[in-house]
Amino acid sequence: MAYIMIVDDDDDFSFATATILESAGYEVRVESNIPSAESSLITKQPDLVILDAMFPENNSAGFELARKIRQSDGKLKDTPILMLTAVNSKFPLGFNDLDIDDAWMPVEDFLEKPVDFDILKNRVENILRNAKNKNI
Amino acid sequence: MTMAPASEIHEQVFDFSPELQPASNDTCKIMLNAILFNDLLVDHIYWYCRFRWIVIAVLLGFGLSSFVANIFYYLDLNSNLYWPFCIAGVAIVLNLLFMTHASLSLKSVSSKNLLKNMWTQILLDLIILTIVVHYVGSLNTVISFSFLFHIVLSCIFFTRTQSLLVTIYSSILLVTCLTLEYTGIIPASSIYRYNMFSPDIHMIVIHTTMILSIWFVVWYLVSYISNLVRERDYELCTTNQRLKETQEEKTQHLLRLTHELKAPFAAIDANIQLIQKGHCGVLPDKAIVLLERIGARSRKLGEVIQAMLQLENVQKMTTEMLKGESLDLAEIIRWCLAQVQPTAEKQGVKLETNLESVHVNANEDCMKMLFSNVISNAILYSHPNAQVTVNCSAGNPHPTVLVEDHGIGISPEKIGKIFDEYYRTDEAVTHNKNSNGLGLAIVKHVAQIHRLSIRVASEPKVGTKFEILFPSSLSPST
Repeated sequence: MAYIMIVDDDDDFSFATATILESAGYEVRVESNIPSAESSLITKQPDLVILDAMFPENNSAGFELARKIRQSDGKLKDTPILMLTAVNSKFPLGFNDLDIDDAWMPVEDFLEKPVDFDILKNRVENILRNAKNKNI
Repeated sequence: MTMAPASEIHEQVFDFSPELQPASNDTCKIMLNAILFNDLLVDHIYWYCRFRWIVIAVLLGFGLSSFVANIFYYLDLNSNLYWPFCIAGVAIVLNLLFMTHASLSLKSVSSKNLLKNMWTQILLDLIILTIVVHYVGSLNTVISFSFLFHIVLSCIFFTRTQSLLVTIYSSILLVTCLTLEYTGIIPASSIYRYNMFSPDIHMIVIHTTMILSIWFVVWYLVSYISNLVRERDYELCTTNQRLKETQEEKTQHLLRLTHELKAPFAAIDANIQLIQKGHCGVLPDKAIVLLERIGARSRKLGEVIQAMLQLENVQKMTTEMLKGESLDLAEIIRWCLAQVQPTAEKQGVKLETNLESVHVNANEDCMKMLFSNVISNAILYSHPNAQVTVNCSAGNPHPTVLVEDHGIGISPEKIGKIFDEYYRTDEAVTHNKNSNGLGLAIVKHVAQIHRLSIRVASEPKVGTKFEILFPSSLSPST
């Protein structure tokens, strides 16, 4: 059973997403802030991180965590990341240049909220399948 | 029994009283000077270096000409001069050193080092200039007026006191040169083969006094005018800096606003989907219908918010701010068509496309917003089972995208208003209640910042044709 970590400060949204993914057969853990997500990532490495971009104290906290994961040691740095946020991160709206640069943004996929859960499940399935094939 | 140490109480005062908020003008001046200082200083340093290359070229040209047969002889000038090459050589080495030092200082953001660089350049330049003046002829030519270049430049770049120091330093160098020549410590020199006159001490004093008087008058006038201009420049810089800060605050605010407004609707939508998928048990049919209505309304509200924020975002963008990239219009249009395909199927509208690969320099998100809005309008205002045509061609002379529908059309007197914010014709509202009147306002702003032309031709109850023309300035080769 694949283990998915959702990092999102919106409890209502993450609850619904977690319920859908659990019913699809995944083990899901929800973290509502960056520090607790960081310690959870070390405790048990997820197969996929579903990550929000903006958090209350920092508009780019999600991007920063994504970069930290990519710069970490060991297997954690290859963890697939799916960015799921209410703001289209590619639109030059106040994010810094690094955040909206495709070459720098180290995520597997990007989805904009509100999201159709059928689409989300498909994307999750694809990312996990690709990651599995990569590891074989 | 040991007692745990009392936890420290951290206290911070937040004073929001307005009289304490604005910084004094002086404080602003110092803060802004700190921000602007390095950039200006580096500009000045590089400008000085560039100017020195020109002087070096002139010196080398002069030196080389002195070796060309007979030219200098016929002009009654000394031939075969070596000193221009020696001075040019020293200047070349110094110039390279100054440029390297400036780029290193810039990396370490050291304004002290940059200042040292600037002042060393000026002091050494004036010494070199004094040597040139000596060789060319300190009194029997007008070369000593070339010190005025430095005096004027220092008036432009520095404060009045600093430029006065440069003027005094130049005066000392000239007087020293003349004294050394007069006393015979160094032999007097000239570019002329025949010395025109041999001045006595009285002439030298009168001559020098006149030269120095002219220098100081020039210093007074130029530094006064320059001070006035600098103050105006400073005001402009301050205003510009404030505008930049305000703009930055606005974009941050807009980003946060987008998130705060869209996130609740995303959560509502997510939970409605949860109930609809049966995760909370079986619901009565009426409840399912109501949930669908709530979901549709919530999505609609989310779309309006998205459109409002997109409009505000494109409104504050300018052509200069655009990060243009080479895009294939056909690919962009295909992406937009995929987004609107479900709506087209729902409306029973058939999409007919003829997309030629055309590359333009434009902002991808802006182009997606533009074509999504124009194509979805064509679908939404089409008659049932009608056809919408989307063509993209390299065009002659401009790349052109054509979107044509067979729908309700627009009457001639209303065409002029369709790009206004929140404007919707009565026919449009009757045909599609969900319209928000913002789509074409977004299209207008995207077109404005990309300098596109849009031709609209329409006939009521027959259909509308939008022709979007890309200027040649957006072609990747230009």
